[in-house]
Amino acid sequence: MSASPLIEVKDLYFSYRTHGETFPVLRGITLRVNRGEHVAVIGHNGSGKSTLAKHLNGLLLPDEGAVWVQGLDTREKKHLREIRRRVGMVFQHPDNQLVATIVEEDVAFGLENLSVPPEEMADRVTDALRAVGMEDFRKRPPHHLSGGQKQRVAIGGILAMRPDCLVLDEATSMLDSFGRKEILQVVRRLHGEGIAVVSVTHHMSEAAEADRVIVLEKGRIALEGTPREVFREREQLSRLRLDVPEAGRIASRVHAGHPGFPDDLYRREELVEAVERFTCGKVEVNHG
Amino acid sequence: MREPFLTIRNLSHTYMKGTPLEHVALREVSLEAGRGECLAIIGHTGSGKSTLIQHLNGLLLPQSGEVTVDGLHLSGPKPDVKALRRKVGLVFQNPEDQIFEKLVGDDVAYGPFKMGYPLQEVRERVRWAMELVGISFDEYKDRPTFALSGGQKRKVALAGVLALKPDLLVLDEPTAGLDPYSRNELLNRIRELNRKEKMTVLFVTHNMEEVATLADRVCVMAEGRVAAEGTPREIFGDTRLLAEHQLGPPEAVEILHALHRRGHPVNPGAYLTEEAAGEILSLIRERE
Amino acid sequence: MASAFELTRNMTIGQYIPTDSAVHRFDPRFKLVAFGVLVLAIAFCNTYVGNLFALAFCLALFPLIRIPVGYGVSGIKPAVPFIIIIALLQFFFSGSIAPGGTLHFEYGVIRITGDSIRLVIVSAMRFVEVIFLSSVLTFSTSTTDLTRGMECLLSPLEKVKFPVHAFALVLTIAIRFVPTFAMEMEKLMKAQASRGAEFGSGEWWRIIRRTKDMFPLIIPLFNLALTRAEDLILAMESRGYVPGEERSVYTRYRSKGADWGLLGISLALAAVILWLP
Repeated sequence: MSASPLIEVKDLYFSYRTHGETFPVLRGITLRVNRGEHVAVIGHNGSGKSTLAKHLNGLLLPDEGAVWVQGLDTREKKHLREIRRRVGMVFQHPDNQLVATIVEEDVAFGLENLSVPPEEMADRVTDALRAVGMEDFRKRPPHHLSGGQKQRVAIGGILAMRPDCLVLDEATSMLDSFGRKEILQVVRRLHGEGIAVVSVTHHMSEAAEADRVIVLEKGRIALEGTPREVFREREQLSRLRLDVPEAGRIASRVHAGHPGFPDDLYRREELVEAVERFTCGKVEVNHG
Repeated sequence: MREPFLTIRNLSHTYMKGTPLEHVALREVSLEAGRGECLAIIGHTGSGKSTLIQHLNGLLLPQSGEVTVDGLHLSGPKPDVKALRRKVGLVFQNPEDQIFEKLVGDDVAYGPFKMGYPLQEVRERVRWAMELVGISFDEYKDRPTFALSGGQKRKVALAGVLALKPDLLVLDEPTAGLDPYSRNELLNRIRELNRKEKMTVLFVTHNMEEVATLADRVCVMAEGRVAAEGTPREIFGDTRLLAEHQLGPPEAVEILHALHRRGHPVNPGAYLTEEAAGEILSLIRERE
Repeated sequence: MASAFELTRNMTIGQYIPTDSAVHRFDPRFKLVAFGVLVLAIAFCNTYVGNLFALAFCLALFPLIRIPVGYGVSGIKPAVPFIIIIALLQFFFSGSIAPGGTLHFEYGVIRITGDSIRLVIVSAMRFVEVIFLSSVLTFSTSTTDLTRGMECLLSPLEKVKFPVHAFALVLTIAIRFVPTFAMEMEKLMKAQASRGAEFGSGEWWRIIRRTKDMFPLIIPLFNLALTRAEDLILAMESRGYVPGEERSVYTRYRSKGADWGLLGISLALAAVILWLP
């Protein structure tokens, strides 16, 4: 990890103020997101996940501490536009983030803000729509699309700006299982192409796919590590009102009945492969 | 066979009939539910699920076909919608949006008041409904609604419908957008209503984990028709059906399906964590 | 059976129906100008013949954009109460005596003349014609094209520091959220009706009572609008929008010969409407 981090958060404190009262939300967060990394942020409602996400591209500014995006301080107004180009954000409600009345116009919205010349815009819009598999919907009004399709358009609008990092703030929580799959596929592919991803999520199976998991509790980082390191801490997670992915629960039940079987598997594929390993001889006999 | 509590026969519905925007939502749907049963309806956005449940308390009246709830017919010229709404409680998606009173108790009391019950009775119903969803009446009735957490708000909204003491509870996506802890809590409450209070429950969902924990029977809808019907075990065990309707089964089922595809003799319908682990254990033990 | 909750059922103005007719493909700037020319002509047309001609011509537009005439005409329904109220007001209060006109009745400010009867009929016709024209415009032009077209037409005002771009953006967003809010409103009405609420019942003169009946709708709708607005602002900011800063524009229009033809035809029609006896 010699290269400078993509996003650096240092000693971040933040409080909401309403009716003269102060509600501390983030209390001393320090973290880094590296280039091309996939980081998942989990925690129950009110733990500060979304507030943290909104600091990553300067939508909220720290009360104390600082956030840098490739060395640019989010508190400096002159950098804001460039920071937001580099770190794009997809929000929870598919309906509340589309601006225009036609899909292609919405994808172009960010480009218009960057004053991209019109000739160049058309190509970038086409590329972005292709990347999220929505090129056939170019001329459609968004209110006729499904939730998953709307979220894909939203991701397209960010891709057109050629970001280095995509922040998903519970972007799949309002979608049905099919819509969620669509989004996860798109995100997986983008990550494969080298874009860093920060996903704030309630779905432990999504977190299990990340390179690194950060668990928030009352505005502090309670746990941090690879999915395996984090999900191993079952007791602490359940105290924080969080789950282990279903694959993990199954693995530990199998382990209980057959102690040789590993009990720290959290992704579907891992579990399937482990079962293969434990039974490989037999299957080969079957086919042989 | 129990006498059916709810009968739907050949129900069809077309929106915007006679305009260029005409859209057929239901085609000849027939469905039954016994008293005390818990029925899940799954299917894609636009499969007709929401249109179907709006017929159950007379928000939509049958254009053709019949709907009968506990002996009350909805197809006649002047159906008794008010009596029906006392019998059938309908909880919409994100029901917390409908809360409008300043205090929790007042909002839960809105329904019983509108139904014209005397004050004492209203009070008792509010107490009963709030305790049922796990919100203490004495502690919460005078709390302001805006200060509740997302999960609590949803429970208050549910209590607002339960206060009408319906025999049939209909829920649209009851846990969408909640964190895992609130999700499990709400699911347990609904199961208690079904098992202990003997309420007939019908719920629409895209979350197969919900189906797995609650439903006695599942009805799959597609393009306004009932595409399949059966126990969760039958539905989850049917690979072809799941693929055809692009339904994401519970993770346990996906893992078993993956093993099945690789030639392992497992039953993919074993959707509970415990059962799935059992299937894998017997695979491993056979090998030894 | 029609449902009491289908809010958008009879709203024809504002519905875009992509039937891909020749009219759909005209440059929106020209459509807007042609629309303006015709509305102006209708507004100044006081004769029966002129209005009959305009009415016939408006009706003929529906087949031209491939929309059933019946559906187009159904758009008048929501406007009927307004037409009646305006007609009543004009009938009683706006009679002027042209030379040679007859006075039928006079009491205080109320005056009924031969002219006022004609005025009532003519203005009802004008109202209907304008509804038809607006319907045709919105059926055949997407809201995006409408606002972009408007923006182009207004762009000379930028010289006097009028924020044309921001104005167009506000308009786009407002239009973009109309279907969303209509759906939310419908859902709220249904949700509260499920809890026993009744809307639009009760005696109409008990205004306070009836207003109170609306609270369960208005308060949640207001809350929803606020959250949505907040979300939208965040989403816009996060895509680099800074109010008042320079932006480029995605859609550019290029006029074709047909567009100038459209303008010519509308001018000719306007002339006919105004010159008819």
